[in-house]
Amino acid sequence: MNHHLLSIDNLSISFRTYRGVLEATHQVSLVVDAGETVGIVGESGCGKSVTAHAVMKLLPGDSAIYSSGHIFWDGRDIRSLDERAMNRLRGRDMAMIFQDPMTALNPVLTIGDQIEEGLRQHHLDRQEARQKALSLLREVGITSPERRLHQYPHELSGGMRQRCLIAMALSCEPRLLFADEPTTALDVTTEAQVLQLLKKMQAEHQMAVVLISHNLGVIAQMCRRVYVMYAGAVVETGRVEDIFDHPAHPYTKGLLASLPDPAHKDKVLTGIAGQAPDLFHMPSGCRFYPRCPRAMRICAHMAPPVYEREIGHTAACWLFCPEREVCHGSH
Amino acid sequence: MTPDDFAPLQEADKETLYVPPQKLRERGWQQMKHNKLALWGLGIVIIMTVIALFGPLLAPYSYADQDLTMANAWPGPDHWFGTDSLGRDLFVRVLYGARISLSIGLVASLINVCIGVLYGGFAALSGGRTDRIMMHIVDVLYSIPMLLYVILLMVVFKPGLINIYLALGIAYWLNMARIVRGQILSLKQQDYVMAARSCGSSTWQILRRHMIPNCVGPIIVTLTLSIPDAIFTEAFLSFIGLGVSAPMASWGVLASEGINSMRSFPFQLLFPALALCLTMLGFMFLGDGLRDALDPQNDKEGGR
Amino acid sequence: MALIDVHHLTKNFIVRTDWLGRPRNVLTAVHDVSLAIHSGETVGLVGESGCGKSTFARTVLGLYEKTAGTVLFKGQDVQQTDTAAVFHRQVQMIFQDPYASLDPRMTVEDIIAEPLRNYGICSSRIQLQQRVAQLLDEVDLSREAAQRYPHEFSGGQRQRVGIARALALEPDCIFCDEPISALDVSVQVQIVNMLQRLQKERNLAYLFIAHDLAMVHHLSRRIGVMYLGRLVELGDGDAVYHTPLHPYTQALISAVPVPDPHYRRQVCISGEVPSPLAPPPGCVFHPRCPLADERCKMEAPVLQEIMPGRMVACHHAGKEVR
Repeated sequence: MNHHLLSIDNLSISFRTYRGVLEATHQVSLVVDAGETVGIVGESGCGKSVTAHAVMKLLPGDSAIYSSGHIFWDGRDIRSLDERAMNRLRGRDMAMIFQDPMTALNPVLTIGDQIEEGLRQHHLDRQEARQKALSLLREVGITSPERRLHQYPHELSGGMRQRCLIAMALSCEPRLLFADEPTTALDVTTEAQVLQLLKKMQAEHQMAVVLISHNLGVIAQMCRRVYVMYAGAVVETGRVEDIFDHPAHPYTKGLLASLPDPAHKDKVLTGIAGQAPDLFHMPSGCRFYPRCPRAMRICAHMAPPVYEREIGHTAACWLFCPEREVCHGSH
Repeated sequence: MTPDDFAPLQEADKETLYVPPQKLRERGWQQMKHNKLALWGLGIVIIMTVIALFGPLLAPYSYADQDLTMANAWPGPDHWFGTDSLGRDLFVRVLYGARISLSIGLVASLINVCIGVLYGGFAALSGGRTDRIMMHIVDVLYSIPMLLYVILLMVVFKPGLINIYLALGIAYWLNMARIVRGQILSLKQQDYVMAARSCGSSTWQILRRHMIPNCVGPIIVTLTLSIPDAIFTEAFLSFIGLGVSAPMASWGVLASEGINSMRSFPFQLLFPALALCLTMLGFMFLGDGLRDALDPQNDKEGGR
Repeated sequence: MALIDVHHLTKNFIVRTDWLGRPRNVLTAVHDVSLAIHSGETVGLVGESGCGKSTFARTVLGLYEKTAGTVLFKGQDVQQTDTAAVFHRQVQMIFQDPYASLDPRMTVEDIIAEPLRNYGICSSRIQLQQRVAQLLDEVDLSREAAQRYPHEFSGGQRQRVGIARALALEPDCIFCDEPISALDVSVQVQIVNMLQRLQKERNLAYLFIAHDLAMVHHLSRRIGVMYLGRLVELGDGDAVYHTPLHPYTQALISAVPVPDPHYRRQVCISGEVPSPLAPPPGCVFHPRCPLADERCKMEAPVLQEIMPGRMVACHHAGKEVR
């Protein structure tokens, strides 16, 4: 059954903290096929970054607990892989770019050194590595790459740094790229450029991209399929058109209703009442029900299963329970 | 599943979470409680203080009582830490030493705080050229080895307890001045100070409401960490003969006496040195713990 | 008469000084900006980071000392001491970062009471507590919040506390400096809706600063666009958003990611904002501008009214970028 490039199956991640154990993701299932762009959207603290870091095994080893689930890479469970095997996988097969390009770059090494470092681990000699680094920088649209090779991260602007990170991530031709809020720290015009670059790179290199963002606009413009996360759980998945044109889950609907519509300026935005739960005090039942405008009695004490609305469009919400539809008919 | 399950939930039926308000002090204590080292530090500091205050009152001997027949006795039931070359009970002398060493640490540090807070605070608040000149002076003073400076002062002042307080106090305020200045400069940039100004608070009100309360934490931490520094410097001064004068004894004096007979009676060095080390570690751990506990923005909950 | 009328405001920062404290490097954060805010209206100010929009607001409020220009409040120069006192009371501010703008050592009650105490508005402690409770009701926080500390609240709730503090003096105008950009989308709406409700109830004027263009358009009657310290376009909100005239505004609006998978972006400008320490000569936007010609490299355009209520600073205002 595993034809997927990456398949995450019921993954739950917890963290040990001094206030106790908190569950950052709850039974997250997610698949990524080769060459496609998948979006994970959700507000802060919904577990979208944790999921990506868990796949890359970048979570702090002393406090993170993989409490359940499996991660299949190309059909192979990588939860049991040791550090060396994981290192081979990272970089060569999957790479990651981060929200803050400044902290992801080493401030005391030049851009050239940092790109070449990755390349030379894959048996390129100095000359070849330099040539490859130059062509990579050119590819990601950096002007006068010869000069940039000798510059330090602080000499570059935010957009340039993010381009360098993309160049580094691409240096080993990964099959999957995690982009964790890659444009959140950037200005809109720079954001547009970086997104365009990501799209171009994705098409040219035939790689899969998992784009993590809180910005619905970015997701709509970039992705083919979308996972909506709330409070550590996936609440809705579907093709991007499913999610944006006919959202099913009340949370997704609320998110979309939070965005102003330029054509109807006077329309009052509905948004979502209340606020995301504290991960230490998760509501029983459905995690969204305290904020949900359509909450039902059952929502308060039982977590909803995942219902398939159409092929590939699922929502975890009691509204779509077949029995409810029967009950409703009898009312 | 029944139809009832799918009836709409009334707003009032939704569970609401009530978290009782938490005082800042309680929160700090919560954080301390999870820091084992800091608790050990606190314990040591408290025990040492109690010993310094009340220990000598309960002791059967005085620090100056000599019993030449019992000179250089090894530790035993009569003399728990043994006796020195003049037959004075070492346990009692270490207890007295605690009094002197701790008082030196405390008084010298308090003098530091007074000078440092006034100097650093004034520099940071006036800003501009005044600040620059005042801080250049600190830099120049910093370039003189402090120990040398203290030794010179002690030579001028003549050894004695009060003179040690003074010498250490006026030598080690530089660090405090820098920390207070840095703290106030960064507070001046804080949005909440901006907010206070935009809603009409005067400079004095900002100082009283925002600057001082937010400086207290770092000041206490620096104070806690500078106490062992002072104790140690005093020990060194006593060690080279510039400390308190006999028959009073700080831990430094005791150690320096002990070192003469280190080969034959190692316990004479061991116990004062042990007391010194324990106290130093106690203050260090406590200071580190306080640093975390006193920072209201510090949140080690690690949620994501 | 405008409530607040800013004329030719300039703010320079001295970035580096020599050892005697004489300026060596000067950064012009706000360059010759004129803007009027009328009572009861929302003026949106947009631009990318470092364009000087926050500095503009803070300089108008007197939190930074202005280098040049005048600020009139109801027609009076705020440099006069009696006008200044009224101005500072009637114009309040909400800050971007709800974590940094509340003193972590003060209870919510003390935070909201600070302006009340400054102006001696409540004579007794009970009166003060009642007023704070009233303000908490106003921003939909429970009265019980008064005894809590900022760290016990979420970002949205902290921002409500900030708004309550700004409302305490019953101001005519509130400067909102990116009040929603640190918040989650669903919480942003709550704050925006609340700001709109308060505006209706109290006839408040807002200067709403943000980089989220769609939200600024949603809220504002008029929009000003800033680039590198200059105001490049100013006009009616719908007009600026739907038919931008300055090439920068066009680029900015087309760069906003639209939450509609069927939408395709048209224009995408290249390059990045130059350093404000060394702004380009002539029109500051010319290195990135698709319409730039020789004239733009030499001569800086001035903000001109090209239609009633529509100001643009561009030699080629209105030409289409394709």
